[in-house]
Amino acid sequence: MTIKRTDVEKVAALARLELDQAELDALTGDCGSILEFFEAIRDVDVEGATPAGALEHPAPVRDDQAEHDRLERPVAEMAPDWREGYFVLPRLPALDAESVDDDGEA
Amino acid sequence: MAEPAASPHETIIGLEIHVQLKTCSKMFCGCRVEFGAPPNTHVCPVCLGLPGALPVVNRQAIELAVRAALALNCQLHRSSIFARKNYFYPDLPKGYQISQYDRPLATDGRLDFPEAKGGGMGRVRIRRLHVEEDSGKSLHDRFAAKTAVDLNRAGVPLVEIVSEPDIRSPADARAFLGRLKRALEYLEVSDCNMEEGSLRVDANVSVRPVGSSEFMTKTEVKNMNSFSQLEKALAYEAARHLNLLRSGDQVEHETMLWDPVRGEARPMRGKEEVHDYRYFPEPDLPRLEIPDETVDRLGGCLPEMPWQKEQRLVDDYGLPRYDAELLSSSRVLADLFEAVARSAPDPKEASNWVMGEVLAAANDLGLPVERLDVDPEGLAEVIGLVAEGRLSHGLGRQVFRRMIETGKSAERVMEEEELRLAGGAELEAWVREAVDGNPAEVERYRGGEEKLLAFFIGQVMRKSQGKADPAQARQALIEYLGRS
Amino acid sequence: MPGSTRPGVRELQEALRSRRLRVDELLRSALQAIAGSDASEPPLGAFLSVAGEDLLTQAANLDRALDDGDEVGPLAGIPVAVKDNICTASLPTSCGSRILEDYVAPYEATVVRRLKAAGALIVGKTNLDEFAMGSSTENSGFGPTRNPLDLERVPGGSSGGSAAALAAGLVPLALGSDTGGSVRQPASFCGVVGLKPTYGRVSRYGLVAFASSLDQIGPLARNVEDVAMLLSVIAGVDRFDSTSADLPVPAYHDALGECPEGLVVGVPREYFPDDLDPGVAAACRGALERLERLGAEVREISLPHTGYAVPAYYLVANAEASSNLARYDGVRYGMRAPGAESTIAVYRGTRGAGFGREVKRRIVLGTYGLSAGYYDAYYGTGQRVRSLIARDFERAFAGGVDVIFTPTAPTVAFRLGERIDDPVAMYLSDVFTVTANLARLPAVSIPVGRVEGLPVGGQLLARQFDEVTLLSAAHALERAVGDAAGSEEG
Repeated sequence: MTIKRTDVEKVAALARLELDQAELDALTGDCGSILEFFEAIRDVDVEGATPAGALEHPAPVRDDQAEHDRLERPVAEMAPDWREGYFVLPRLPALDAESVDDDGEA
Repeated sequence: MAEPAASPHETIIGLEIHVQLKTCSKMFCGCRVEFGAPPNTHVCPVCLGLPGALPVVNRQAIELAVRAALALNCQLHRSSIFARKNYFYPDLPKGYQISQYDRPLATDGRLDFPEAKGGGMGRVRIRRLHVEEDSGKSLHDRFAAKTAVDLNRAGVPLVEIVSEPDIRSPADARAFLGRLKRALEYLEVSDCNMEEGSLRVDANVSVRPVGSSEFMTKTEVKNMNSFSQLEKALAYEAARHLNLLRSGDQVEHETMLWDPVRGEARPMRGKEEVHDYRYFPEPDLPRLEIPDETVDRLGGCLPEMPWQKEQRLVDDYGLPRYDAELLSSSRVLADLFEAVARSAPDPKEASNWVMGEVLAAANDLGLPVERLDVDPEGLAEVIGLVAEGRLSHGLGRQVFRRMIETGKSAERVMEEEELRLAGGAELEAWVREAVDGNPAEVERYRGGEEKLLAFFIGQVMRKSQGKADPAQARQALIEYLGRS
Repeated sequence: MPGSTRPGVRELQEALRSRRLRVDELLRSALQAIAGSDASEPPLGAFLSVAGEDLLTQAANLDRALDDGDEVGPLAGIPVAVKDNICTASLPTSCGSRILEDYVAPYEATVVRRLKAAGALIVGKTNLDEFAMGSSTENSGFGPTRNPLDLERVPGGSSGGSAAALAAGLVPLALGSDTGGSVRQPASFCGVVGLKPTYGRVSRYGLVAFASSLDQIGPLARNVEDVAMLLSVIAGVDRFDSTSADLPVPAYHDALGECPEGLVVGVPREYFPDDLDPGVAAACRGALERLERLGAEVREISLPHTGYAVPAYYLVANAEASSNLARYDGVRYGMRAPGAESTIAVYRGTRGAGFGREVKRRIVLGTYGLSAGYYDAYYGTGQRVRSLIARDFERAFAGGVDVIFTPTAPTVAFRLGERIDDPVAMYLSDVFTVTANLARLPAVSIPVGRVEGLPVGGQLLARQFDEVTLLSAAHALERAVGDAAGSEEG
């Protein structure tokens, strides 16, 4: 296992992390030595081992009842930018043209 | 637009359908589901993605998804797993969507549909059906150069249905979707309202030479908000592929946005980054188990589908196709019809009354049919009384209305409100008034304008407030007008 | 604190009920002590925020109730410190991160609601490594916490603020969170008791997620009984946490008695490697001898996959963390990078400026480990090895072992700055603690001795949901170890 500077750059882009050059260098070094340390895990024979994660009990389910919103403070108070009931964030005017679908991916 | 079917190429279409489940509250929190509410008013720590908040599964959403899976003849997986689909978007509060990935709720289904051409039946295989939460809404035109985010829709329950690429024409895509919509509405899984977004369809399109079994490069088409737009967009895209192939060009694998105003599909820009959703099992939710009880209750056997019911109404009751289709569009309506028809003298009469008076009453009272307090036997009795001539149709309608409003029996309504056919002296008096009060019309009638009889009948009916029997009135009028 | 004996919770309760001590008095002295701890140079740095006037009102109400002899909750009037990654509606919840600087949650964690219902007074929020990622509390975005026993040393982490507040005598009870040892290792470094309950024993609703399948809120106190008392209040199923277990909650503090008869203590040889700090090893051997003298059978066992636990832990934890931390995007709450002119610039700028270096490392590694082509080698392998580690424990317990004893950490508290630039060395601080999280077992650290004045923690682990046996054994060991351990003044 190893990680190159370009890998870190790519992953940082995927994770939406802005990194300056010095940070990128440092992270590449850090992550490289950490991954090297993780390398030991390759020795384990995982054949037949099921991935952990499943709890004993199945997911509990709740009744379909609309309950009161449990907020002790209005949403507006925590929003960095709030207008007329909406969370607002900047968007380059040049990008406005592509807005038709940007309605989420679901 | 060229018609690709006319060439030795065929169109290959697969659909990805998102259906909003008809629940009161969201998928993983108690926030109300309401279309058109003021922005960000149905939100809580969970659907806002606040630090520390956790999801809890809505039972009803799961039951509706199970119902949909059974209706699509899917293999239902009694144990399935929620997974996180990771991507950044302003209306995706947690930075991931809780969905299902390698162990979905259901797989390997199918749905048969009447093909658009030739009257045969087509079959579309369903690859998978899974449960997930919706994102919020990003509005890009609300404020200049800003994106506005409304999270009322964030966390609303959805099922995603993915078909195999089994559809061979845009018209068939429409026909298949129509059948699917009808089934889901009928099972009360969803409102399936494309305008409000409770039914959303993306399509994968490619074309290939007839006889080839290879799949060519496909494109994904999005943003079709009605059935006719779907058909148009697919026809457009198929023709575009064909033109590219014929001129020796390559089809690019890309996502196209349908523009219904211009009637064209354009490649989506600005999404050059390859998606890497980094799915992994959602650690905040244990596996989803469907208990025996749920399966027994919802689908020990598959529910009768609307088209099966429609056929049965034609076969068993001799109803015209139109009546059968309308009645079977809603389970409530069809059940009511069958209950009325059991004791009514004639199924067609029962159908007329259900389609006519019942729907009219629901409309006038502003209530859905299921909330109307209709006693099927009482309605059958009214139909019988009209058939026997003991009530006029109009009087029957009044009796029926009062039955709904008061919950009383036909007999009691008729007795207490004196809603009976009047005869004898009463009828005589109305006939006399109708004739004597309209000397000019009497003159014309006697001059040979016999069609004016209808006018006099109408006068009598009005004066009697429906209590006169039109046939008796007619007879009495002919006699009276002939007498003097 | 009134007096210098640092009374336990039971003594405080008696003093409050008999009215020898007033809630108001107790609270004011705690607030004063907290203020004092940060007024000295260098500051202790245990707290990130401290309660104000409204808490004095609560104290007055409780005093009135106690004066009138009214029924009060089990922790009425007891000051409790809460780690700053647990949501409180009246105090900020920053998680030690600049990205949540000044964020005040509009809802409360289930444990906080339960504490309040029990009458506890939440005096403040304690410092931590940013988003609980670290083993020294040096990764806090708001400055480190120091070890009150030696201000040049770290208190451990990530619940370093809670452990330090206890060791300094500022509060009698505190909550931490433990994803890979974040309650137990600081308890060990500060000479206090810290419990990581079984996964699912305590609701995570309102605990800001680091690694959801490993995180668990745990109590810290100066003795086992107090830890048990706090656990009794916070444990139990919660309809807002689907991973919480629907099992009855015993009154843990009432279940503590003599050493459980015929107790079999397993000692895994993998936890006593040749390079273990000799002082730590000696303290642990001493504790085992005392347990034997109490009638316990000490038995050597093997947990063969132990050596792979740290990599498995980080592969799983980082992956989950990368997803859990995606929500800090500057859109809805918390910090937003100024001057950003597009959506993507808001994201990148906010996250680039808001997260510290360790958090970025873990996001990068976690994102990498989940990305296309790497999932199986990283996250998948981590989860598989995790199940092998869990199986090791199952076999040991099936073989008749009731509890397992290990050192909590391979060393005593290290110096500030000593490991901050060597992430691997820092990760190895967790080598003995991550296994309990991977296997979802309950585990407690209690002081078992000292090396050059610095406390050594011994760790006990038990079967899932068997906190009763775990705490009973810990209680017996605590009494056997007695003054040899860290309960004297630091």
